[in-house]
Amino acid sequence: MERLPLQDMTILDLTWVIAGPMATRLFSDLGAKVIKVESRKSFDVLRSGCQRKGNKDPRKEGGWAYNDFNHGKLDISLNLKSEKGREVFEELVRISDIVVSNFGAAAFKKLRITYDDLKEIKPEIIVLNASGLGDWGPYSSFVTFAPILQSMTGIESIVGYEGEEEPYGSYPPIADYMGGLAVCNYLFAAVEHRDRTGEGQFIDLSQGEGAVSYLGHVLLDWQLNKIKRGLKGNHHYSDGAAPHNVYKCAGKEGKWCAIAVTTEEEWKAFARAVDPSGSWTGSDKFESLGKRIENQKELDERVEEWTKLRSREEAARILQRAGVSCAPVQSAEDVLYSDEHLRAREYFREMRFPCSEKLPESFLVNDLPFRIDGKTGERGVSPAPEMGAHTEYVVMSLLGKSREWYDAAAAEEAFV
Amino acid sequence: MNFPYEGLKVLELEGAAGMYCGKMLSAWGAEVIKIERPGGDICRRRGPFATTAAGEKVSLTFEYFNTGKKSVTLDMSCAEGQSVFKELASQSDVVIESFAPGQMKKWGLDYETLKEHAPALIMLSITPFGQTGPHSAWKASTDLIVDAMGGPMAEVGVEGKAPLHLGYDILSFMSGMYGLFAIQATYHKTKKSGVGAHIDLSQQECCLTWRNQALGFAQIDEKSPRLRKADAVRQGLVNCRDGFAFAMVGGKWQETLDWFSDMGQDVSVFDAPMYRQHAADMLTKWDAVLLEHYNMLGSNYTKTGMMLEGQKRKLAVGVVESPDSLLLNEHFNARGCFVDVSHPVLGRLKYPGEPAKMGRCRQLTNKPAPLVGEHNRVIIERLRAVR
Repeated sequence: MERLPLQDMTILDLTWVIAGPMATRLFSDLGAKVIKVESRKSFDVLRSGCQRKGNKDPRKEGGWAYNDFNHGKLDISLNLKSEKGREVFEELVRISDIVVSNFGAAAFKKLRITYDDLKEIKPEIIVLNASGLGDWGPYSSFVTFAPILQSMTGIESIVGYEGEEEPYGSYPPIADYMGGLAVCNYLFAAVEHRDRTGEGQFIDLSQGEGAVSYLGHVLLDWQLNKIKRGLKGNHHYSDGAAPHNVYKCAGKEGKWCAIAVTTEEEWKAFARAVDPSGSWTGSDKFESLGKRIENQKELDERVEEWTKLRSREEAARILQRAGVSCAPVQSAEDVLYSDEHLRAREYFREMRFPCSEKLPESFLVNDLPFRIDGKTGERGVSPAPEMGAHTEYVVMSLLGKSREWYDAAAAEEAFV
Repeated sequence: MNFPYEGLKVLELEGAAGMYCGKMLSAWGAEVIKIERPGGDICRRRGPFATTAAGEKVSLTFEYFNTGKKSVTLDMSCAEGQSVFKELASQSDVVIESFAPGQMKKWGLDYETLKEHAPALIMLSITPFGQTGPHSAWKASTDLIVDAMGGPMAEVGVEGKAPLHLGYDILSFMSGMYGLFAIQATYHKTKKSGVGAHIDLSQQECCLTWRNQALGFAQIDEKSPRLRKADAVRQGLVNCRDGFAFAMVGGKWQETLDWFSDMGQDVSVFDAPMYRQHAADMLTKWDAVLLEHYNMLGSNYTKTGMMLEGQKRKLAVGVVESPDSLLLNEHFNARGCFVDVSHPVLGRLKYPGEPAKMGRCRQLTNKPAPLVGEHNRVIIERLRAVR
């Protein structure tokens, strides 16, 4: 088998929940050895989330979100406060390229794992801490879950129905994914720097600043135009497209399609497809983008008259064939079971849960969203390991400790 | 201090999807040349715009997502343009493109052809649905379409109304960061092996990776999250004197009740079994009574004041910033999150800087985007010298 690109890389992973684990799993998917450190007292809290009913011990079997973000990793249980646990940790730092965490600053000091501590152990180590709002600054100790970050960075304020004062409210944890992506990108930048110079470094990653960096155009718009655009629903945020909305389709309640018409060429194609005689699309109310924005309410009603008579799939087929952007709004079930395109690309991969009675035998999880030279990731993957599943392997095989040493350390509660 | 990717040579072709990816590489010292069609990249016609004194419209999306890059205009549809592109590609490490699948091949500029002269070249293709499969030719002129096909749209919104889209092209730019990761991972191997690769990235698939909770619910509970019921109360948003704060119980139910009490509210109504689960709940499961108590609390504070008091009590409360107030946020400003950029036409402006601070590397985020064809002469002269 061809070597995966990251087989020479070892990551000591002290992260939990979403942003960190999502990032390190992408590395393990590409061949990096990721050693996840947990302990009986403080295991990854995501293990308990999204659980099937009846599961008694999340340390044995995490919920599915946990499995998605942690399969393919080595998992060890380590008590950093014990002497031998500390020794194992320091040796792990020595064999690692990267230590990645998402603690608050106080926890580092308490556990003696600040960058200064770690570079003492290995000067060229790369250390990245991904926190909600960064390692320092007036709000750095704040309690921040993704929705809080989404609020503080302005994302919350742009999702909502047109004409309403109140934004929609709780949005899926997009800020965690933004943070996770930034973790990936910055780790590589630091690895590249180390490969060139031999130097390690500390990276202070603020998920909040990661999120703000997606909104530069919005901030420039405010500085230069001083217009409060307010909530736009599904209309184009800067009036750059019309029609641009989600429309009701035929069939059971709750079937929708999205249509986006940006250029005049697309508008002409759209008009030919939905109104070949030009009975309404020919009206001067819709003759230019400016006019279509001005008369958007009427435009949307007209478009919906057309979509309502068609299934969302049919609407998408007709308009895409005409060269117009249109797509069905797909639920999770739709993407899993009826999206022919994803099936043809063999996107989802199977995870088997041999230990559970109540889970389906196979469970579909995400692959990487890209293929390198056409290759997908492994088709069948194992669930995320039990907490501490690889403690013995890591300590004895990777670090070369004897059975006697391991047993003595275990007796001193180094691995709880 | 040096830049992590200094010396890396990148060509970034037309389109929005790869812009953030190229922007980061440029911040890290790579030379990123935008190849624009004569007259300028189509993204220069993407709003929001600023209008100059001369009445010219400047795309702020283009300006922000292309900081630090160079610009060369090239007509890729004619033989001469194609031959110049081939020369440029043979001297580059990375090509980022997001044309409709098949377009590069039509021009004779697909990866298979380019790699003959540049075996170490890495090409990233970012498209809405990827290079293969029945929907690969489908168009997605804006993020609305990929959000519908793969994003969280189906579970965001209120029953009886249309599902809601996350706007401002955010999903495209996030996909670009996946593209950056793929480039970085490939380059990590290529720099040793000398063998490049073609990366096929699908924005729809990127969106799916941000939906893993819903995908699990669909398979195990046999029902994924749906739109909010029309009579359900909104979650998390608290009315304050000057706007909204966002509050979560976050497992701290007693502390939340204490806050209500301290502000003179009667909390006996919460002495019911249904509320006790809030002690364990990380999420916001609000009913009308809880919302009312939060709003009474909010009436005592400004949105920032509500956050500061909540956080003093170790509760997860955040101010809901809007673009105008975000620029004034004391924390982001203290960390230097916004950098000053002197734009040749628009003047001095605040741009978001880098998402993370690197102890030993420089990052360049305050160099404005190039003018159309600003580097034509320099790059052509460089080509001549090589010839």
